[in-house]
Amino acid sequence: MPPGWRFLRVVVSDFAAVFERRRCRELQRPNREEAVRMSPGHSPELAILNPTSFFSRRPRLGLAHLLVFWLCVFGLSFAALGCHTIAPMRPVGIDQFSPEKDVLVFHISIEEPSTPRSYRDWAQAQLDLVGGEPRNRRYPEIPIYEVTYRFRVSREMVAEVTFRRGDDGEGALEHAQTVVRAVPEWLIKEESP
Amino acid sequence: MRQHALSQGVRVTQGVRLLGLGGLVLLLSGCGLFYNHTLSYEDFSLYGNQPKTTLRRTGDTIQDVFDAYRLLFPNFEEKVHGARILYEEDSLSQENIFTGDLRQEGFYLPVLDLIHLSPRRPRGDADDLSVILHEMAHHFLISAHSKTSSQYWLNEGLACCLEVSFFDEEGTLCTPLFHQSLFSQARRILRRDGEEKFRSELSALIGASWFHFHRSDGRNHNYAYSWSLYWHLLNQQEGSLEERVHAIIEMSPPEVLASIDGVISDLRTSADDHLAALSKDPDLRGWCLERWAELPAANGRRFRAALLEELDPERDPGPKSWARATLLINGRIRGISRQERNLLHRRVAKTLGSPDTDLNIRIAIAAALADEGSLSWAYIVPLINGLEEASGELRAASARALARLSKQKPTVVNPGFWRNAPPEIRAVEVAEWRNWYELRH
Repeated sequence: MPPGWRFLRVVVSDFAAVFERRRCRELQRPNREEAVRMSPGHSPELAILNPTSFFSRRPRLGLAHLLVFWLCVFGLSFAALGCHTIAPMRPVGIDQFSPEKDVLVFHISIEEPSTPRSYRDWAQAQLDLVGGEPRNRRYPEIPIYEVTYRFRVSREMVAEVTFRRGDDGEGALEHAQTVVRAVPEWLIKEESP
Repeated sequence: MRQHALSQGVRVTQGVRLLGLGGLVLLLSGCGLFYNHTLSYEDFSLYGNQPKTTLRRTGDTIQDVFDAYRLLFPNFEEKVHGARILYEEDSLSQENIFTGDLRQEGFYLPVLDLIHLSPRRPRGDADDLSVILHEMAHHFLISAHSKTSSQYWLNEGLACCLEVSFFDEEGTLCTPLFHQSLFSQARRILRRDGEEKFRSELSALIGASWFHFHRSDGRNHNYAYSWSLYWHLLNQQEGSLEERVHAIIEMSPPEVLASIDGVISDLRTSADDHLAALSKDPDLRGWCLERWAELPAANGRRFRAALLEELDPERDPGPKSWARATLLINGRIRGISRQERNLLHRRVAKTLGSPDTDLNIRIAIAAALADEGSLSWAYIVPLINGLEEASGELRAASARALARLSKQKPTVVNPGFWRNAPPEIRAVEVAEWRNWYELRH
């Protein structure tokens, strides 16, 4: 017999005993007929056809059920109290300037700060609109190396999203980093998994 | 009744066995069940969800710290256990999204020899190192002297002293022990609260429980109190760091309390004076210069003298020293006159433009100017000349620096262009720069 086999057998029998005990408890209920109907040997199709079986099969409320019930009630009430509605980002103005031939900077005015990820997502969506290859109108033949989106709320910069090509200066423009300067604490918590 | 009691007993035994099995599975797997990657090192196991290359880099740094602490505390070594280290990056940080909120970046559980690290980027590798140095200090101290696990001021004091350490260019751990931000914080507390309150708060901390230390209202100040007390005590002792640490552990509470006047006296001395004393050590001078630049009102005369010593040709300063000097001269250091600053700019520009200078130094200076450059005409000509150098790295760094220094002339900053584009195409850009310079001068 391989080593550990006996231990494994004991543990498996423990598990089996737990399930067996649960079945025995069902069989010892006052409504024994219904319990038998619930047992694994009984055909479930017939049980569904019996209109009284639903009520008779309903288990009695125990401590565990009460606990689950109260957890649900508290959970819902906390969700209702702690819930924030995050409005989608609505830019009220966009300015573009090109400090270098292959660098673009966009200044985006927004009404209120948003979640950290939403800045990156919004900027990525803007980049996707031009197929990931924005152009400097004054130097259209030069591929853009870096694009920065600066988000401002009433002139104060709240976030900066930068996309850049790889270290060799080739490949697609990829998200390099997003730095969020001002963000309400509840927005960070809301985004954390 | 007897049968019921028997069945209860059987159930308890079965429950214990099941729990035992669960525990066994967890023990055999370490924490590997919960993390994607496990790296086994000589002294520790590292668990994390980052790509293996990233995790390996962190693991190598942790091993360096382990080795360096072994040299610092040779007698602790026999008692230091292998550690389990969990490395978790913040979910936003993993996506390169950074917010400025402050939060805990690591903790140590002595019972399990478990270190949890959750550093935040992009503050740089130095900050990752400080979290590792801090938590590892707890591990070494508590492993060697288990009674210190409930002396929170002592534990945090040593960890804060060691977290400012750094590896020099030869890979040796340098330990200045002077924590400037905690020093400034402790000085602010002393100035705001007065000596009496400072003394009573510090006394209360010596026998403080975990709850008092980490959860009381004044917890944000407890690190500053602990560091200032520990630093003072370290300076009072003689011998190696290990001997001094050991002497502090052996001190009785009344002896520690008796030294509080000395702590207050240390805090009355300015950070300038402490940095000036530390900067006499050539290994710590560069580090001191960086701390000096962080002071709101640094003594410019002393700073300049230390900077010139750092750049002394007889010392043969390397790329790191020149990059640091360039950043500091172009940064916001106060107390240096315009004339003195221009002299320093010219000295750096001369080194950058000289073909006799080591190529790595020239690249380091150009890269530092690209990060923190301020417009000084002294740099423009060496940088334009740098665009025509044989080294692609120097050309790329020079272009980036020129883009930062001159806000008026648009250029191409793509490093791929300056490294790989044909010379005749690059020559067009260089000619534009020369025309621009001639028009301005």
